[in-house]
Amino acid sequence: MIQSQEEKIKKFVEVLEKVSHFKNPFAKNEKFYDLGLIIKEGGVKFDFDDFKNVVEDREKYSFFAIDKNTSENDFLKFLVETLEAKKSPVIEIKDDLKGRCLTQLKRLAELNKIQILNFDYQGETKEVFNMKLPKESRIIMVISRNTLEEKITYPRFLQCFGPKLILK
Amino acid sequence: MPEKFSVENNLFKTPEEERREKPFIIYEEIEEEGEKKCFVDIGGIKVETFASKEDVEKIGAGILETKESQDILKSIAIHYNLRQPLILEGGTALGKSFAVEKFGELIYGKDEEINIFDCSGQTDVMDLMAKWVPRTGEEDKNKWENFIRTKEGQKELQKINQETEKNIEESKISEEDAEILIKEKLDTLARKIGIETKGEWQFQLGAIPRAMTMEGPNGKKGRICHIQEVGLARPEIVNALLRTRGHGKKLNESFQLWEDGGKKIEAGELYWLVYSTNPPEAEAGYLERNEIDPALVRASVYKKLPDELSEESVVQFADFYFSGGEEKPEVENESYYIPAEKQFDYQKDKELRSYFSKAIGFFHIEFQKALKQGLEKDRVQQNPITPDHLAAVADFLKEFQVKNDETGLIDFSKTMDEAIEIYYLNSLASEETKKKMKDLWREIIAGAIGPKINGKSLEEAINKRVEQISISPEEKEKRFKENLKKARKERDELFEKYPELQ
Repeated sequence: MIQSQEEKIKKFVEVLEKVSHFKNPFAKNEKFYDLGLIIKEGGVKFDFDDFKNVVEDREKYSFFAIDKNTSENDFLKFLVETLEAKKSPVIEIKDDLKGRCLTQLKRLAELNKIQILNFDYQGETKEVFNMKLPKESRIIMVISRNTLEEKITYPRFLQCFGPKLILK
Repeated sequence: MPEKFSVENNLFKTPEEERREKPFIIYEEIEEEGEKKCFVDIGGIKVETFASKEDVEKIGAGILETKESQDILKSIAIHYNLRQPLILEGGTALGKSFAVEKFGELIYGKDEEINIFDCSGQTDVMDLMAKWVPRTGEEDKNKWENFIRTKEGQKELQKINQETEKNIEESKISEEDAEILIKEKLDTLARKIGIETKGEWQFQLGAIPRAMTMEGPNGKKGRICHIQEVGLARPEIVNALLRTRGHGKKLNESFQLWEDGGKKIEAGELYWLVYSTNPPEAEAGYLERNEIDPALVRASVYKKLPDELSEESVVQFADFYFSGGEEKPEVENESYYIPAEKQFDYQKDKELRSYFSKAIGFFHIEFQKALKQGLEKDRVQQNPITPDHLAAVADFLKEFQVKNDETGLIDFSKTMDEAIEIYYLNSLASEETKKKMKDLWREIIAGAIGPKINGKSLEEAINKRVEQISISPEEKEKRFKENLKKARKERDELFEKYPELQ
């Protein structure tokens, strides 16, 4: 990773950490945090270790990659566990997002909340599992330009994110 | 009728006038038949709440009052009370989801959530209705979940459901036997993909049956379920949603769940569905979005919101954001809709109900004709007009009558105007066509076109009838005398001023 990219990532994470705003036109008191998107152009490689070396509190981040073989439950479990630990998930998207994963992404983006029906968690099935994004956590997604343009089918995917960073 | 004297402006104020001076959202406790009931009053519409006073006030204070937010919240409250599913169609970031979430909090309390189902992406019918999951280790469970979301898996499950439906409807087997049969078939299917279940399966309800049956506050059942992006729903999701249809734009009170051997799912009284979607028009930038299934639109109340916030609101938001929340938008209280405390059972009066039927029925036919002749024909989203619209208006007129402040009587003209706007005009996209149809409605009611009653306009006939049945002969005589006295006084004043007139 070249120096300027490290700085860009550092700045990007800082923006995500600090900026909270009235995301909704009718929210008067409640401020929400944005989800951040890192877009990789061309053949740029995103290495989670490199990312961890750049950010200040490296233990705060957990990494997960979603590809076509990823089970929805595994992803949701990762997401919930990471947020419960008040950490920030960094999720690399390598394929189209499936129904329940996309639903949670949208809900996080819109209301900083999660709701999962029939969620197998900690040895039991939770009929309705609700959770709010802890104020310490932020969501960062990483995607290649190719996956973004060719594989993501949800037409308003980009609207789920506030700040976006392009790595060239 | 005057009830309170206000020193401030030296006027008598009606309860309605008093309400308009209070915030858009307030908490109220009302004693009904010796029982205390709590309500959240949303711009005049009272909805039973289980949230605390503190929660309601806090949530209310957290909602920025704009024309749009008041309008959406008012619609939600009206149709929640009537148990009519509502479709909110409007541009992205208009605040639809936020308004629905906040309404849920106003009903259940700040830390409670409504149920959500999102139709975008690859959501499956089983997430909406129900599914069986093997009681196995996590790995096999994941394997099963992945399989049932494949085309092959869905085809197999659909086959099982269809067979169950057929068997039950033809009374070939009981519900209990059907369940045993389903599990046997699921076992066979699971073995095919290498899962050994030992016949143990767990039944999981999807978003709709869960919302219908969820335990709620005070022993009441049901929950609000928000179906998001219904414009992106796949046909099989739409078919499943159609099972929630009742009569006259109301929700079905129960349906059979074929996934569970045909067991009947009964809806609790707090169950309600609200849909939201972005506009389908190509020019609005949502090319991928399909038209909402007409049958679903027919079964719901359709509210067309703007594609984007008004310029006035954007300016207000900008001021609000850049002042750190200090400069709040100023809104007129035009969105308040304050039903009279006592509603009049118009259906018991043959004459009055026949006038309503003539007025609304004639407008309904004219509206239908206009649609056929190409009113808003270029829109992707069509809103078929059916007798369900009439049924919904009839219901609305029973529950949301407003009072005429001057006469103290029920103002059915205003109530009908509101009903026409909610059920017919709000489904139109352009302000121009909306105005055109509104003018048509006013022409009908004012007698310029359409039916008349003994040479009088429908509006006059309705008002006269309301007066006849609302005022006792004694009260009538009293009012006559008062009016006569007033007229004489005015005459005397006039003569005093212009003696030459005598």
